[in-house]
Amino acid sequence: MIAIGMFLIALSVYACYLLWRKKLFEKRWLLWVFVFTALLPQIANQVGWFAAEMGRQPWVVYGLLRTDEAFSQAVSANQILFSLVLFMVVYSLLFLLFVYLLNKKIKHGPYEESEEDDDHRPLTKEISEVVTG
Amino acid sequence: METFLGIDYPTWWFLVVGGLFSGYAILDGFDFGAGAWHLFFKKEQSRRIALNAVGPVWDGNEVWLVIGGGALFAGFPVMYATLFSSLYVPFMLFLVFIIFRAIAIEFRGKEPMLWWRRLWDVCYSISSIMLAFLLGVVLGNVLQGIAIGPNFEYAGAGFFEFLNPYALMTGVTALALFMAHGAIYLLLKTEGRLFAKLTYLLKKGMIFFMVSFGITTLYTLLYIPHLSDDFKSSPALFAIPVLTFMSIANVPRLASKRNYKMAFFFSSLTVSLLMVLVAVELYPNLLFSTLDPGYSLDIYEAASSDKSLGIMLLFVAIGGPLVLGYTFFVYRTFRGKVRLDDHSY
Repeated sequence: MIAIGMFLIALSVYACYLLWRKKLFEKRWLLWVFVFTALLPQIANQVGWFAAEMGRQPWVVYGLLRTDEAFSQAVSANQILFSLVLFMVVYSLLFLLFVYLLNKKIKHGPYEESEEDDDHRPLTKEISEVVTG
Repeated sequence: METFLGIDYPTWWFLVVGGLFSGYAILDGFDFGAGAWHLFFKKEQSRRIALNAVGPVWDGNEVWLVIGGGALFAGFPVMYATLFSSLYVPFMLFLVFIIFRAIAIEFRGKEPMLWWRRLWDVCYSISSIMLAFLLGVVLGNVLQGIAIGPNFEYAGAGFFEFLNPYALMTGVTALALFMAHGAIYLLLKTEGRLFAKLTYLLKKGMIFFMVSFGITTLYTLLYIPHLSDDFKSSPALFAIPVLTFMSIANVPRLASKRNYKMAFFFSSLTVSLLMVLVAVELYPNLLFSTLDPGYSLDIYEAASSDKSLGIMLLFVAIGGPLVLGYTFFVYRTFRGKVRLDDHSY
C-alpha cells in the first residue's frame, strides 16, 4: 500500500514537471502508464485492508475481544456461504458495469461548457417512438 | 441508573432509535412506494419524471437507515447482534436490493438504448417492492417474537423461518402503506396525464393498504396476545390506535378534496403513529422470545453503559436539530413539480 502510494506520488510529480515543461503530451509511454495506474489505488485499498484485518488476528478488537469469541453462534456456515457468493456475484457485476461505463466516459473525453450532457440526453428519435407508442 | 427528566437513559435511547426508524419509514417509505409504482407508468417521459421526483432526496432518505442502524448498534448492542444474527437472510437480501436500487437509479440514464432503460426500470421497481416488503417482514418478526434461546442466541429452525405467515402479512402491509404514501408524494411532484393516472393509482393503493392493514390487525388481536396486553392494562393508551385510525381515515378524505399536501402530512403521521404503536407494544422489551418469555430481551439488558448512552444523547441533542434543518432545506430547495433538464436522471 505504501509502495503504491509513493510510486503514484513520484509519477504525478514527474508528470507535473513535464506538464510545466509542456512535454507531457508527447510522452506516450507515460500516458500509457497512467492508463494502468488507474487500478493501483483500488489494489492499495484492498491490500491495506488485508494488512489491517490479518495483522489484528487473533483479535477482532485489539486486546479486548478475540475473533473466536465474537462470531455469531446463530448464523450457520451455509448462510455465510450464501451471502458470500451473493456478494461476489453482485460485486463482479458492478465491476464489469463500472469498467464499461468508465471506459465510455473516458473515450468521450472532457465536456465542453456548451456541449449537451451526453449522460442525460433524451432518447434517440426512433426509440422514443417505440417507448411512447 | 442515571435519569434525565425522570426518565432513565435506556428509555431515552429507545425513543431516539424509535424516532430515527420512524423518520426513516416516512422518508424512504415514500421513495420505495414511488419505485413500486414505476412499472405502472408506460411512457419514457413519465418514468423519467417519476424517477426525478425522488432523484434529489432518495439517498438522503437512506442515510436515516444508516443512522438508525448505527444508533441501535451503539445504544443497544445486544439487540443489534441478536436481531441481525436471527434475521441474517432477510438483512442480506435487503442489502442486495438496496444496492441494485441505487445503481438502477444512477445507471438508467447513462445509455440511450431501450433494452438498457427497460432493464434498470425493472430492477428499480422490483428492488423498491422487495425493500418495502422486507422491512415489513423484519418488523413482523420483531413484533411476533423470534426463537431466542439462552444468552440471547437465536435457537430457531433456520433459513426460511423469517417467512412466517404473520411476517408475510406485515410485509405486504408495509408495501401497501408505502405505495399509498409514495403515490401521494408523486402527486405533489407531477402534473398533466401522469398526475391524472396517479389519482387513480392512489385510490387502488389506499384500498390495498386498508384491506391488508385490516387483516393484519385482526390477526394480531386474535393470535398474538402479548402485543395487546399493554393496552388492556392501561386503557389511556387506547388513544394511540384511535388516533392512528383517524389519521388513516383522513388520508382518503383529503385526497378526494385534492388537498395532497395535507394528505401527505397525514400519510406521514400515519406512518409515525404506526411506529408509536409498535413502540408501545414492545416497551420495555425489544425482542420477544417465542421459546420462553424469560429469554426475551428488554432495553436494560440490551443497553450500553449509562456513560456511553449519556454521551450519545448529547450528540443526538446537537446533531438532531442539524439533520432536521438540512432535511428541511433540501426539501424546500426541490419543492414543487418536477422539471426535467440536462442534469436530470
